[in-house]
Amino acid sequence: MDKLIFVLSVLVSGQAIANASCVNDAPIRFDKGDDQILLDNKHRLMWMDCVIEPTTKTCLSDNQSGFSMTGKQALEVATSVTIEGYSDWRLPNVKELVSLFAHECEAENAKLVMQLPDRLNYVWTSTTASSGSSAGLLVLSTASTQLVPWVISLSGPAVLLVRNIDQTVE
Amino acid sequence: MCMKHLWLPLVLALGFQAEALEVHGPKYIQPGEAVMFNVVDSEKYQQIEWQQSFFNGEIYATGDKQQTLQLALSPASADSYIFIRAFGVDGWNYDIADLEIEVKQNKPLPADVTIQGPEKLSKGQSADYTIMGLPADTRIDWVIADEFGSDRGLKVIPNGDRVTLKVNKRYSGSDALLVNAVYVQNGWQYVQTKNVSLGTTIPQPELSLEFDASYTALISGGIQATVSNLPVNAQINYTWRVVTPPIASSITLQNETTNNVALLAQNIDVASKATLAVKVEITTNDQQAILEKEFDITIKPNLPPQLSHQLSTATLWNTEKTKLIVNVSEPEQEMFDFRLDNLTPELVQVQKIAEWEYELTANSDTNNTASLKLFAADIHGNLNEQVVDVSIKKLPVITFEHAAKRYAKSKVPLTASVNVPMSFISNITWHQRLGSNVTLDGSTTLEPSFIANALPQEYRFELEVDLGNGVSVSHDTQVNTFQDKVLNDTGDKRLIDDGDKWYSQSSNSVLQGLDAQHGRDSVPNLIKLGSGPDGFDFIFLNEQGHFVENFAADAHCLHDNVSGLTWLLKSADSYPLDQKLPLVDANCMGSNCSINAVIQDLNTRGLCGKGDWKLPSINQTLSILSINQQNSTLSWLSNDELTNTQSVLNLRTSAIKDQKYYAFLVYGEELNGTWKSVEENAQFLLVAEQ
Repeated sequence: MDKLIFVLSVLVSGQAIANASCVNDAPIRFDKGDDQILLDNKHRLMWMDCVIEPTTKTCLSDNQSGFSMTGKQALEVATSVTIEGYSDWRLPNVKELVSLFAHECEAENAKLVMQLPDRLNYVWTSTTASSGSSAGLLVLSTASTQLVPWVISLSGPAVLLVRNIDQTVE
Repeated sequence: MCMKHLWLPLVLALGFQAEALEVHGPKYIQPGEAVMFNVVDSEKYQQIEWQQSFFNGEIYATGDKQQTLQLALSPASADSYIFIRAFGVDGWNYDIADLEIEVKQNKPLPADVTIQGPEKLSKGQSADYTIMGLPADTRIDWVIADEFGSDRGLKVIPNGDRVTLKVNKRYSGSDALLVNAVYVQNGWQYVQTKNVSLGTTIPQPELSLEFDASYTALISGGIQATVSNLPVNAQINYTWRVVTPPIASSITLQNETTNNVALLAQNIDVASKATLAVKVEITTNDQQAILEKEFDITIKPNLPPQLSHQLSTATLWNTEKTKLIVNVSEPEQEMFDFRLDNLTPELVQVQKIAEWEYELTANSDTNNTASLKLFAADIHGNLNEQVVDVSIKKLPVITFEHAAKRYAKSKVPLTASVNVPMSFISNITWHQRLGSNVTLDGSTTLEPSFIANALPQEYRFELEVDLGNGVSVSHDTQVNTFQDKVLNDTGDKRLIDDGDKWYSQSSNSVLQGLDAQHGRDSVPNLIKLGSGPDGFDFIFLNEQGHFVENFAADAHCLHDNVSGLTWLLKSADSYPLDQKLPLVDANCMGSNCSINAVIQDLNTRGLCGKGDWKLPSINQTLSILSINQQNSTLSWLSNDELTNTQSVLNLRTSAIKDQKYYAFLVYGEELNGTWKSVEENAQFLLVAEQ
């Protein structure tokens, strides 16, 4: 099993995800549907609930292991795919991606809701960063929450896609 | 002379004459006449013997003792006298009577004499005949026989001028009888004759009974006896009796000496036979007959009223109503009493709504069984009871399982459960009681949803679950929606060309999908409440929290209109942006020697109207940061429009893990995030959420 699948009793169709350990009794942030979409109601963002496989440009399946891409590939994939009926997917900026993984209470812990590979670590953002003298993008370590610059021509990080919920479909 | 008279001379020679024998007969006879002589008291003698002188005629004796002598004188007779001697023989004794009959002409006509009595008789019947018109002391000899002279089967009882004739039932002679009254008047003998015809045999009295096929205990019944072919003037006596009573019961008879007997049986458990008998005694003047019959009757038990009922619904929800219809039938159609007792008045209310109809209303908030008892008793006290049980179910409970807090504009699911199977539910209705009017998707299910309005508010709904038959349960629920929080953009302006280098004048094309090409930063003519770099939207607040001019000297806080957070202005003269402080300093006595001391001071002062100053979280810290070096948010955070921080800032966040805190490293257009040892001092921002 290549994916980290959290089997939660509350993870059912359209079911709001809540966690009693969330001390601030926050409103329900994430909603998960039958498809591979995760809604972030708090920030009005729609996430693909998977990492993208480079060749098929679709969700990584259980029998696929590679999700590493260069930053350039990541940008190209994000701007060209049409998944779940949407074609305005993009890479998240640093604030969007960090908001997904730097949770402040368990109720907002995206790792508990998303179906991500358990060996997933770095994920590309669309925010630029200098890696030495090379152009790069910031990547987020989903394991440590560290933000580091990554040369855009180097592979390694994975791709998560996001779009604005309220964005008009082109 | 016949041979049987041969012994007579010997008897007469040896016997002894005792006294005179009396013979009744005429003194005169005319030629051609026939007369009759009768020995009076012939029963005293064993035998009567006759001797006579010679004459021109015939003579012969009749009767069981030859006590009657008939003499027929020829019409050509020239005799003057006829002498006759009668012997009454009694053993060795005998009596003698000598008769001298003178033959004369011109017999006088008889007197006007008639015989009165019935002209018809039946076998077995008797009748009296009386001769009328003769002097009172006239001796009458009654001779009754059929037309052939036979008296077999006839019983004649003479009594002076009256004779009783009874025709035996087995009489077999001719149908014509002659009743002859022989009498002597002025020495001449006359015979008055009455013809009596014999009718058919009188039918025998017959007894018939009229009774019912069955009788019911405790209800009086009757049996009628009818006797047909009763003789005239017959007296009848009836006697009824019980031969065998019913099993384990008894029968009382009334009027048991009449032809209509009344009977009353005590109650029995099962139908049983009883045997009765009637004896009819029929008495006439000369007859007595007894007719008797035994017969069986069936006694059925007297049953109590029969009870039945129909209950529209045997299982009720609490508060549910149902109709009870009672049926009472009395097998014997007798009067009866009916009563309905509510054995559990605390569980069910009973209201009579019509004759034999009741409305039951369940009243129990727990599963229970209510009981009613029906009583019906007839006039004998025969009682029938029936218990009507009604199961009462407590009303189902609605529970809501959806979240009570949602974000505005999001899809809000409402999830209810009812602790009964869905098959029990006939209808589901959601009523919106509060909030902007929304359209529920799946409003007839327990899991509808709606799209929340953009304006945060409280929504209230009432779920009504109809269980049918007028029973429903409802429950209120509420959902509060909160403002969604759009993330600030990053201020990233840099582009990369398709050669993986920073975009420059020499670049051929730019990569698509970069941060700089999306978000608030790239929205032209972005509408802001305040002002700020790129997509940021700030207003400055004074110490009291009131709005002041941008970069005003009395500004103390910066309010982010996008995130809703309020930031402490890190101005150089109060809280320098590049100042590093430990989180805690136990030796510090002032208000500015540790981060916590500063926080405590701010909260104590309620700076900018806030009382929840604290270190920002990772996301809060990140939200205010910009990597647009030319128009950095740090200038706004330091209240110094001209500030262009050249040094690296290590901005501490509140996130701590494994003795490390998370810090953002900000330097110009570069941003990193990493964990640092808690021992290491860092710059900091302070935020208030409220």
